[in-house]
Amino acid sequence: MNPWLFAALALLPGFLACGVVLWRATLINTVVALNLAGVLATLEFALLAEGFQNTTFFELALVLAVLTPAGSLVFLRFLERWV
Amino acid sequence: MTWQEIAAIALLAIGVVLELLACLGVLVMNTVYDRLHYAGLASLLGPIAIAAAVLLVEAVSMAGIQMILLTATLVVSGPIITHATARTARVRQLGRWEPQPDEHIEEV
Repeated sequence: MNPWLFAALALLPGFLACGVVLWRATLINTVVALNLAGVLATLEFALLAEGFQNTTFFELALVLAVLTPAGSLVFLRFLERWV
Repeated sequence: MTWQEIAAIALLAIGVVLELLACLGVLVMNTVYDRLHYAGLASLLGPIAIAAAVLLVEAVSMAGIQMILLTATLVVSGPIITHATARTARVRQLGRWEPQPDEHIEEV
């Protein structure tokens, strides 16, 4: 097990924190947790790519880094109109 | 073990700790505005530290370039999402995002 995979493993409890906020907080707070989970997932893929020496995971991370904020913006726009 | 590998491990540890602190902050804080401070930290400092660790090991290779692109995307989109979330929270709270007549906001 190399340091990259160990770091990927160490990041996993962060998803638990996001899950608790998603489960318990109000709607606008869940968007913050959702976006944070997206950042964590992006970094997870990058660390796995480096840990397994497989650049395919870097492409997944890049796609996720672009699509997560776009999805959050659409969601926020919807929430802003649905007052 | 070379000095690049030692520095990469140190930067990796810093990045992971920053991300976990951001998650803890989002979990512990009560309001959306407080939580946004920690979410902003997660999309700025943590990715930069992890990208620096990858670049120390990979230098300018395909993986290094992809990591630079990925980090740039996160660093640019983070403040945009933070601002948009705060704006949406305010609209949902007050009906509009402009200052209210009874709010005393000093212009800088």
